[in-house]
Amino acid sequence: MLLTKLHIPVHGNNIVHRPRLFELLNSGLQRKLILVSAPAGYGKTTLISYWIGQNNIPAVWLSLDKGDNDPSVFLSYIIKGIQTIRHDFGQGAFRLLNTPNSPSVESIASLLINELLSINQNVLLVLDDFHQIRNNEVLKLITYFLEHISVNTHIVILTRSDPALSLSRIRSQNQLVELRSAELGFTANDIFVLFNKKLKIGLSRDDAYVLETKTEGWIAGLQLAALSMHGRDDLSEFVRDLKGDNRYIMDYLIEEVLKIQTDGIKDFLLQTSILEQMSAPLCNTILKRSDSQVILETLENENMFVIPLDNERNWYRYHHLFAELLKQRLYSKNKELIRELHDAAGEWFKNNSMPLFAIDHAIETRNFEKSVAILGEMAEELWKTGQHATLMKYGDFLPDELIKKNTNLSLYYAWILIIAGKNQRAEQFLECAGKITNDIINHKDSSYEAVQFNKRILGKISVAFACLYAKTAFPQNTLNYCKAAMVNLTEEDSFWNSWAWYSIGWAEEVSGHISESIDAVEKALYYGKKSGSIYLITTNAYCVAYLEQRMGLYTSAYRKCSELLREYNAGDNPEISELDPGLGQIYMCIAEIECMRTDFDAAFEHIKVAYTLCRNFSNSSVKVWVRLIYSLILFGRGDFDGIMQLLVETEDIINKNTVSPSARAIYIDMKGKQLVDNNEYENAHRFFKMNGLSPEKEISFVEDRGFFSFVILLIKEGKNKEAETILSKLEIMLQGAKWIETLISVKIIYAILQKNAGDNKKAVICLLKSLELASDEGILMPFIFYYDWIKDLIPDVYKIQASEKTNIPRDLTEKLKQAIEKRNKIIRKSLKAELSTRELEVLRYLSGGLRNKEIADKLFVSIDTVKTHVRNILLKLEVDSRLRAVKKAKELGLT
Amino acid sequence: MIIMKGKIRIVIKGHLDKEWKDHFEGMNISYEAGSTILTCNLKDDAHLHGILEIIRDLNLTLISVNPIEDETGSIVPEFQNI
Repeated sequence: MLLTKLHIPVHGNNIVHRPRLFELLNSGLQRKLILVSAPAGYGKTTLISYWIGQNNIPAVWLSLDKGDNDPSVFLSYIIKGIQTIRHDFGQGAFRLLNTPNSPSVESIASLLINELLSINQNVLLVLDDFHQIRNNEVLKLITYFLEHISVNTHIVILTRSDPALSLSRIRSQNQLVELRSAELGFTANDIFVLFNKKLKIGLSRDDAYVLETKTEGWIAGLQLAALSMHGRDDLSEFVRDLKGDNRYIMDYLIEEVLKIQTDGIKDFLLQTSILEQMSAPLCNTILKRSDSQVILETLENENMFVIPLDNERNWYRYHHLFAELLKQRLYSKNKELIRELHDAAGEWFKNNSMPLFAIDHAIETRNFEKSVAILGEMAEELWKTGQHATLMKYGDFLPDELIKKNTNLSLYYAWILIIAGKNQRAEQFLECAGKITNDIINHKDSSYEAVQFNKRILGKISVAFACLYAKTAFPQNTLNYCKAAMVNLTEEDSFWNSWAWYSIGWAEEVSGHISESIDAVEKALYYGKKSGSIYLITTNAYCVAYLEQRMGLYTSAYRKCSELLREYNAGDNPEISELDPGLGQIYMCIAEIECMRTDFDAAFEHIKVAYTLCRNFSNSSVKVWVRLIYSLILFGRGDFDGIMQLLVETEDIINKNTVSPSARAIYIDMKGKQLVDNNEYENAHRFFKMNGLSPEKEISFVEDRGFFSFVILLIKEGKNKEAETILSKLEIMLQGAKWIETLISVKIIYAILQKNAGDNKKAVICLLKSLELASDEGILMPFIFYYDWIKDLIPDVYKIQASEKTNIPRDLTEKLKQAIEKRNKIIRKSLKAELSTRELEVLRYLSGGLRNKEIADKLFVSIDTVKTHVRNILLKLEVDSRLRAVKKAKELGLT
Repeated sequence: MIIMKGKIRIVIKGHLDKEWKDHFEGMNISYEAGSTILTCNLKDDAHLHGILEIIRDLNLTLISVNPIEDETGSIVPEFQNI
């Protein structure tokens, strides 16, 4: 980090005090935003730093540059900046930010805003040179800040162009004070004060007016004019001639200023203009001289547009506009010299541990080989500290062919490409990197160290490949790469080992080797904890819990999730549990287990937390999961409108992203069931076909659940044989893998099949079997989920349980009864609210067996009106005949 | 999206030295009644924004930005739909 960026710029002694501007600025202390928007050279920085200094306002200053277009870099500077007035501020957030998989920047921003609230005084956050910011994420962050900051915090933006921050809204809320060039420009009076009182150049009132007209009050122009007046007697003449020929005023003035400098100073000025920031040792090196410190201090004293960047006078920069003018003069002179200067500067920055500047200088002279070489050396560091946008920016800019020759850069660039979902692009770089490292390892002349070093790189490349294929569903490829990775990685590479084991876990799950999968993910969790990566810890902890849950080991899964949450709440960063999308998965797991045990109220509370946490999660599959589990819980609570809404959201995510096959399968099941429940058979068929389902299709372990609704559709259409084929495939597969959770559902669907075939006795036996499976852990949700299809069998199940010897405990059937009754009550309530009084009346007459004509007579209305009521009733009860309506009304206790 | 492409003419108030040619990469500098005329072949929108930024950073006064018509009288900038 460059702490010079946080330095409040020192203003010289020659400041003209302008009370009018101070008044404006002071009024900004009651607003959220002070916007100082004017071209270069209007004294924006000077005014604000002077105002802050005179009024002793606690201020955080950040001088922005192009490099701040990375949200995590930007936020890190903000935190470091606030730490200059509150040293203990945002430490947790800072640690979180500088990890490879940090929580979303927005959640960190909200954390910071909460912390800012605790600072009980006015704080000014000054963002200088804001026009350098183009990154949308950073702009969004500022918008978010502006919306949420407390009355104590004020943002000051200094910029050359108005920022894209929905200013009109802030303006209309009267939360904005604006200072523009009209306010900032010097009046003739200001000019008079500057020249006579401050600079002690005798200037007449008339000359001051002429200068005001000619410079339009532009302060940089005035300052240059003052510099070129140095030592002249004929001031009035100079002022009169100024800009007489319509030339660009700066061209004219800079010539005049340079004219009166010694050759040594002139060279110094021109040649150092290529530097964004300069120190004496740096200038000494590139100019091959030894007196730079003296020159810099002299320039500062003479108001030569040199701005110190720290109190120690170590670093300086030129005023941006002045630098532009100098650079232009240098460029028109000696191209070869410019290259030499950049090379020397790059070399110095590299040797002084400021590699990003070295890269920029190399890029200036289009020396991409060098840029790639330096970037390659620091790629791991950039990645480790979460500066992904920076790495991505250089990776996208530099030529692919050169990057491919650099294994280190290829590896880390590919890794962030994979995270960003750009798999195809990532693959090219990994392939090249893999080939190069392999060649070195296998070459007979390679040294032992080189071989060892490259083996580790190869190990990491293999992990990246494994993850790449894990996302694209080739389990064998993933396993092969993981094997290769394990051979080459060392025990210290915790992060990579964790990812490798995670990928193995995934591949084993797809192949149906569940206990192997759990073992692998447990190892991934172990290495994840060792690496300290929050993402790896939460993701792997979730995976273990998820797999155990599938096997029906609810108690263990639930305990693991609760323990992890407890660990976080008691750890160094308890605030994480309110932020980390990874923990959203843990809440989701807890909610699902509670839902499966029909504890819908607790599940509802937890899924809401999970839903909020996962909102900004980079992993689209998790976003799908959380919505589907949410729908399942709403199903248990009888909220069908909520389900519709969630399914629409889910569909949108699936259409726009690649999601895992298992998440997709659950979506197919939920959406399919909705279509079948609504008797939309044709649509259901089309939907299943579109998703590639057919009785002949091979079923994999991650897609099993997608078939459930499809089978029910087949049963409904009397295609029992086809339904049975699929069910038996599912049963064999799930029994082998001990996937108790889904096996329960399969047995219930078997019961539906038997019932449909007319064999209620067999159907009840199937239900008893599934209840037995459910009894250990109380997995009752499937019975609620399929309740509408099995409700007439349930009384027999209760009867057998009560009279005969079974392995089903009484508690379980009691709990099932309660859950069913509770849900019916909710549906009854909502239906009652939906049916009008008239419709309820008609419904009661229907139940009494009355015909339309008789009802019409009773209610003194026409037959057509009765028919309309009946139609509405059928619609609202979601049934297709009067008989069914009567039956449903009776079940729900409506009549 | 529409992309600005083709020849473009930018008018700036005052007289900008020819020496600035390198700064405005690949642009031609000429003069007309107290104004500086910059012309060039535009690569894309980003190119145009880059030029406007240089003008802003030097605090030059921008008077106009226009596409140039060729001999046949038709507008050269192609408005490409992508």
